[in-house]
Amino acid sequence: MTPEPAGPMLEVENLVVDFATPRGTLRAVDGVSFSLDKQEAIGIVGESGSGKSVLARALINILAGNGTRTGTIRIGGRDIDQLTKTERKHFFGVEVAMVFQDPMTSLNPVKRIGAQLTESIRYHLGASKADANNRAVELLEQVHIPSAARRLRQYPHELSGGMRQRVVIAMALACEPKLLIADEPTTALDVTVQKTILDLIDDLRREQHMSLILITHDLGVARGRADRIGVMYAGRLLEQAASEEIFTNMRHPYTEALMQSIPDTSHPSHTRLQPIPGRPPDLLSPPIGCAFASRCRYAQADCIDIKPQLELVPFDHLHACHHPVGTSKGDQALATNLAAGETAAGLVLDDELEGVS
Amino acid sequence: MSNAAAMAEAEAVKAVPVGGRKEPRNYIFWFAVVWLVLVLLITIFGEWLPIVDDPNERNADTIKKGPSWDNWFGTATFGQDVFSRVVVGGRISLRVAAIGTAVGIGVGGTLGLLAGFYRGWVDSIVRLIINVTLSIPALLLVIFIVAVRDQSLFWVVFAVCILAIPALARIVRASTLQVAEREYVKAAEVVGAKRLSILFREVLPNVMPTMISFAFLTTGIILVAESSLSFLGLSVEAPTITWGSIIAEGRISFQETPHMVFLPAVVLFLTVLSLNFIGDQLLKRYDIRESAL
Amino acid sequence: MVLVIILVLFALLAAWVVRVAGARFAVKRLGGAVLILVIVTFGTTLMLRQVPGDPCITALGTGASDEAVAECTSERGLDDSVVEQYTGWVGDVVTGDLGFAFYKNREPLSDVLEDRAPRTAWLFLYSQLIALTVAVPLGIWAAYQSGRAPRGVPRWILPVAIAALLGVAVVGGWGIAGILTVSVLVPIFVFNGIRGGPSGDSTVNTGAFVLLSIPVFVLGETLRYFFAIKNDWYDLVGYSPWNEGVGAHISSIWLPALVLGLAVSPVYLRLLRADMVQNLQQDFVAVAKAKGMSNRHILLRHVLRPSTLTLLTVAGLNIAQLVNGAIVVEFIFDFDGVGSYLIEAVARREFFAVQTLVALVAVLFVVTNTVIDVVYTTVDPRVRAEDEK
Repeated sequence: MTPEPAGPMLEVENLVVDFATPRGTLRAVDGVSFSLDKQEAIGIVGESGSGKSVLARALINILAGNGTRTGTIRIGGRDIDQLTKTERKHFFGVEVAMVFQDPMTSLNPVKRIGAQLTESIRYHLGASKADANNRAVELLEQVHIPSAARRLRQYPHELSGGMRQRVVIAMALACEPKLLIADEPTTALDVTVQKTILDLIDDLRREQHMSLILITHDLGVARGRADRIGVMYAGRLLEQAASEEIFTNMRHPYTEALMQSIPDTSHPSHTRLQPIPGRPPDLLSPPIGCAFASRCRYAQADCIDIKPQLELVPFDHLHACHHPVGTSKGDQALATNLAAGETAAGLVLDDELEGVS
Repeated sequence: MSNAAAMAEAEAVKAVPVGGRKEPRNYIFWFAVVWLVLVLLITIFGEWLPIVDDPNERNADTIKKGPSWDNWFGTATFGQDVFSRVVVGGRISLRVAAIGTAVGIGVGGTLGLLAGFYRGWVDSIVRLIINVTLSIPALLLVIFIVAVRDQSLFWVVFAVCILAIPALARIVRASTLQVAEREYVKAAEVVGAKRLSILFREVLPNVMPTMISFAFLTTGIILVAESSLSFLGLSVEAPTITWGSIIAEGRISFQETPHMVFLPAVVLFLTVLSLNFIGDQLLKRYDIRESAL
Repeated sequence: MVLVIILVLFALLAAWVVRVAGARFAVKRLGGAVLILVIVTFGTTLMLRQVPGDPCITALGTGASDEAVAECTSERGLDDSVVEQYTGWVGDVVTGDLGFAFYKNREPLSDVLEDRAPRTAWLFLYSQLIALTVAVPLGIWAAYQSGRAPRGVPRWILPVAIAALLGVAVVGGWGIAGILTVSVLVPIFVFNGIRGGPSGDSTVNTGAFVLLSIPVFVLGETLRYFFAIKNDWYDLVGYSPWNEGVGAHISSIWLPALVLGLAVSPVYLRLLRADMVQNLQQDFVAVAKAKGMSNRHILLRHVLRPSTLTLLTVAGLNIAQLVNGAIVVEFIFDFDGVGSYLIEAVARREFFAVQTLVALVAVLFVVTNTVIDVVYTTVDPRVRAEDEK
């Protein structure tokens, strides 16, 4: 099979998602822009509450009732807000599909696997019951579920977690989407099955020539499975570059902090992992400057007052930082802060921890 | 769909610093509390208040008159002041409800607590008692008991207690079962605390919110049950007055005395509504789900 | 004959349960039900002995001859031990002899029931239908609305409400309009006003809450006053069976059924709504949305289905509510059903009839709930999974 010509599969421009809460407006996604080529995979990495799941839900148009979205999302060149009613009916779930986090709750406990697999096939493709069933068996075989035909008559609680996640993946693939969004597909699973599920998703996307958005809190998961990686924090994409570029040449202090908080087998076994001090900002009243400033070891006065904009640096690398890591500005900022013992935002730098890194 | 909302909500909660903005005050809750306190105060101290006359004082000039400045709730068949009758009747109705709930909490609560905590044969017996008693609809049970014995205050209260005990025992048992499964109870067990001390120190305080919330709901249910009983003419016999009996008297000559039906009914309704609302709010406040019990 | 049919149906049910869920489960559930039945009915017999003085003398009246009292005492087994009295009663009931009332020429209770039970049964049926037609759509709608942000009070609501109240006042008199205002509208408006404007959900929920707090007899009296006394929309002439014509039948029963239906509907409504809201928050709903299924499909196929099973269980438990309500409603509307017979019997001190009635209701209640419980457990895969653990 020859690959389709390259071109943007997904274009997101200045996406903003607000939630009306009893305490005020919460900006969960704040001006995110990125694009994804056909058959390309992007990893979106961030800690919990960074807005990455909301981003995923916004892309597939399933925001909660109190959420509002502005900005443009074009999937396969089509603006999802410009779709006609009939186009919209068979768009989500067909062009773009999603795999959810927790397979234990993603399946309706009172419906048979078969019914849940075939409903979208029948609804979107108008297949007959028999055809849909054949297709369902085919799908289950694709995700390597043994004795597929028998599974159709089973209920979700009769399957293990890994098996259920395979079913959820099969469900997402039912209408042969061109874009697959996987929202932390392995977080809820046993460590032993995590890798097989990730590899399955990776294989399937290559076989079926899909584009993939892999959302995870683990940089290590994205590495090698995503062509590009975006780092998200407090609703913004802080850094975005090709996968290897991010790992070898990170620019944003947050990315660096994330890397340092992942265990790495190449380090000596007694190396202490470095936690990120403090906690994410209140999204109801976000800071004026850089959202990460209060937790950042590089923070200077301008970080608190001026929100850094995305900058394009060589090797197609985007970052939003006034004092990027690995540049003279960054080194200087860190040196100043270390000398003062605290950052401009008042974060006390612990010498002991500094010594380890 | 609402998942993202819940998530956003959780994020909001996380993000708000401790001691930050609070939920808006719940005024209705306080309306309900004020109404209940008002009803209680007037019924308890009504005798000494100038607004309450002798409920049995007949007056040939004011027979079956509608509400007026002298008689706020109008007058009854023999010219008695209906407002005074409502106040005095409320004393019986509320007393029955209060005693019923207290006994329900005392006996039913204990049974439920023991059943949920010790399980085994205690649980089987308590469950059997609950299931047997609940297999006769409440009003029917109360009617049966009162019919077999007699329509005295004692037997009405007794019947109402029989109603309250299994209802509360069931709730408390379920709640205890839930609490006993929690980590800190298990932890206390592992540490080797005495069973009885676990029951009183760990389980009981955590069952209390459920018990108190349902006490309000049960009081409302008993109030309705007793009023229905008097309405059917099967509760405490005349000349004792209850809210239900005033309504029952009023309906006999409905055309002339609708005020005797509607005004006590509104008082009863608002009282039950307040009790239910307070109970419901407490359930929400402590995040107790009825369906989970 | 009826008994044979019931027994056959029961045997079929038991066989089905054994086949689907296994013998142990069947014995556990059905055996438990039988135990409860025995204890309840025995308890009612025991209560008969608690009548102060001799129940036969009380029932027959003080003027009764000694022979009549003696005959009654031996007939009812009051001179035997409680156990013998009980077994005698069970034997009688199973063979279809429900005893008799002393007044009206010893009218057999089975005749009374044959005459009156259908009326109460129709009342139950219609009121359940009304309750469900009110509760299910509103419950679904409320649940659907619950995810939405609260919206301001629509501008037209207040004028429409005032116009409606004025209409009621003109037709029904100021008294009823005032009552309606106080009891329904004020709480709803105050509640919603303070909560920052109503969403459809909170309005429905508040309405249900208010309805739940209205005692059945208050509701019944209010509606009777409005429909039967102030206006001539309902004739208090008594029940007409089907064979007197559909129109006569419906017009003779609609108001009691409406009262009873409204009285039990908030229970369904609140439960269905709470259950559906909970289901709507489940991930599988987000999954279904992501699959691009329509809202209708999700609401009806994914969310309502698990909730209907819950609704079914509550329907069983709600029979108690229905019985309570039916006693009051039949009393209010002089509706000659089983409930009003019960009140008459109590007033006439017909202890034996009352005891048999109470026991029969308990049997009906336990049997229905057991059937529902067993069916529910056997059908719902979640519960079955819990059970197997």
